[in-house]
Amino acid sequence: MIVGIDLGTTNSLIGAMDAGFPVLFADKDGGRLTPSLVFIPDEGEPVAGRQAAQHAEAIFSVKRQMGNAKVESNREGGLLKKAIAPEEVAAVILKKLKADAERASGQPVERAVITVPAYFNEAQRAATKRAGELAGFTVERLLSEPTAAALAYGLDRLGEKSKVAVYDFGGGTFDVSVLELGEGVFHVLSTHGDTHLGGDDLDAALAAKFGISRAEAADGKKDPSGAGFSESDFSATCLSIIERTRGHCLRSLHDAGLKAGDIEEVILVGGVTRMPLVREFVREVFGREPNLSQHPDEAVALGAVIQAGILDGSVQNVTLLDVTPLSLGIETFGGLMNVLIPRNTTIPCKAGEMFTNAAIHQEAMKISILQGEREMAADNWKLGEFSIPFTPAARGLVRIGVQFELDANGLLHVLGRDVATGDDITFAIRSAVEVSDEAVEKMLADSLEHAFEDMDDRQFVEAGLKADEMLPAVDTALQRLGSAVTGEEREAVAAWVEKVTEAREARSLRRLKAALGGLDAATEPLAARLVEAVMDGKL
Amino acid sequence: MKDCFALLGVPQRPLLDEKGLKSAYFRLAAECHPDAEGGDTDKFRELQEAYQTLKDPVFRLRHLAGVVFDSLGDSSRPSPQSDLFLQVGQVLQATKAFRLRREKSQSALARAVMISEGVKVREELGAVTEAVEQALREARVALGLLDKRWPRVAPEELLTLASGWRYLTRWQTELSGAEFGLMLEA
Repeated sequence: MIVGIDLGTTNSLIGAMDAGFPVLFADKDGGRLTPSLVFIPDEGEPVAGRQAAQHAEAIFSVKRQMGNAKVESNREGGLLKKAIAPEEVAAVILKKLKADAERASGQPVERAVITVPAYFNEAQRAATKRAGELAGFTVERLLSEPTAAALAYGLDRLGEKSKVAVYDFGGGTFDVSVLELGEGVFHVLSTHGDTHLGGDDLDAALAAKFGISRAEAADGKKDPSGAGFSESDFSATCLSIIERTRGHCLRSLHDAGLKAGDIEEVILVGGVTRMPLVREFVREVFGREPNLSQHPDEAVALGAVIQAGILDGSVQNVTLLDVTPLSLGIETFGGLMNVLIPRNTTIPCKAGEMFTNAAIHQEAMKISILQGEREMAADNWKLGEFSIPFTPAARGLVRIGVQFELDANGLLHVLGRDVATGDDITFAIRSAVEVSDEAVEKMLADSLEHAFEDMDDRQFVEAGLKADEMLPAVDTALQRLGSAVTGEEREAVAAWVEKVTEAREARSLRRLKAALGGLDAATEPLAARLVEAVMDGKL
Repeated sequence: MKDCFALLGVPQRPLLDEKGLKSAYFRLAAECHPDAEGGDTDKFRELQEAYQTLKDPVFRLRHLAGVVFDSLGDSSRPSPQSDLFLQVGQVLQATKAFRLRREKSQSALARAVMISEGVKVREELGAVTEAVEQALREARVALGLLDKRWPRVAPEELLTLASGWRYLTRWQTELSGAEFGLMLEA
């Protein structure tokens, strides 16, 4: 038996196929949801789930720290007494789920499919796999969460051909995937997301806005009027977070080569999608009523169970073609990233490139492996750096092949080959990409050295830049709007412009800031009118 | 050299029926995907590579030249359509400069003033994109003509079409990326 596990930011679930159907297991308290909380006592066994919830110092949302070297803080924001890796904390949750499954099914459980956010990078995926291994599992597959949700949605619709989007807004992560379903094939076309955007951010924003604790905010958002939140403040605060998912949806459609109108169903999963505000937002972005057929908390776990069924043969005639969310490549001449495997490539896959030596006496070639979408190598995640040794030869004669292989888990294996000798070197990818403390300190020291000596100087320069931008903009705006500006408004703006000029001459930071603030306020109605005029096509 | 056409069981031709190709890919993928019984990761990766090659006209034409004529062409690439090249370069640079300026902008008024400029930049982008798309439509017609004459076609014809096409799709990607950024940041 292979189990399917949804290792969530807020809650985790486990299940298995039973007589052809995906089933989730309940723990001894009868609950299928295990809170993703871990308490590590000074002495004795760590505990997870409801048992850990009783302790104020429990660690929460460890999923958001996967891929880091160590866990930063506990629920109360207090620093941990001893260093512990996020995967060790996640392993405590997985161990508890394993015990629940063993009790419920009456048999030992060793093999598992574990879900990860689609947008998890190499380090975050590797850490999740490691967590499973620490809990005593053989991790048969890491499965992307929106893909899992699509499996749960599509299993009883195998005959239908359709294009769907999965909008997965969970406790700590957001993903959106676009899939093509048909002929028993689940073909992921594109995926996008943010591994640090979820219900936690909503809670934090609400807590800050209304001056309450995160726990109170989490409860309050289920019933905003009951919690005494003013409706407009509540909507505005939440929308500022929800709005951040828009770009990911649009990019995902763009990468799939589709328009919102091409999507036949938008499937909602993840606890946050219970909020009416989120549903309304999705309706607006995709221009259609969202599909609520899936259980927000359980669909991903059910999908993991179905994937487990595909692997052990209990689910047949289903093929899943998933993709890698992020481009993989190497650093090349001039500090640029050379992409070997572009994002949204179907996995498993491989790609390679040949390199030659640049000098006679060269004995090795340094290869930096990168993941990300930015043009400059330095702006992407560096997964590792390797040196491939070879026998020196005349320039251009040595031929080194570098091959990238992505497995079905989305994990990377790199192979270097000296073509002349046929020697292969396989590289292991380091499991945490986080830079060491010393490296961070050095970066900080460097940046301080180059910073302005005096904070005031720097602020004055910045304010000056803003003035440089605003004064010509004021002229242009007044000219373009013409008679649409009242005499009163003109006078007010002119007065603030004069104050800005005076403050600059007097080199007074305080006065310049105040004058710019006044000018900002005085020109606000003009800015709004300009935008309106452009929208109406009058300019 | 392995033959991607044979691997996917489709005819060796410049023009392929997209639906038929995809259908063949899905059928074979279901057989050799590592999750399937008797599946094999290496086999799947090969299928994957072959499908990527045939799906894209540029790679397909080059592969066809290689498999049928054993010709990979010389490494010196013919230069792209130079007037279009200049237009694309200029409009991309202008868009980049505009986006950078807008990103740095600190006041609502300055951003409002920039809106009409943004509309102009978008129009220019749109015009060049249309020119590139027109050239792509012409390339598609040329592909159809090559396919009609097949196999009485010289390998150079395949490679020339492939190389021109490659520039066009690259430009199209960059232009649509620029337009997308312009829209998204607004």
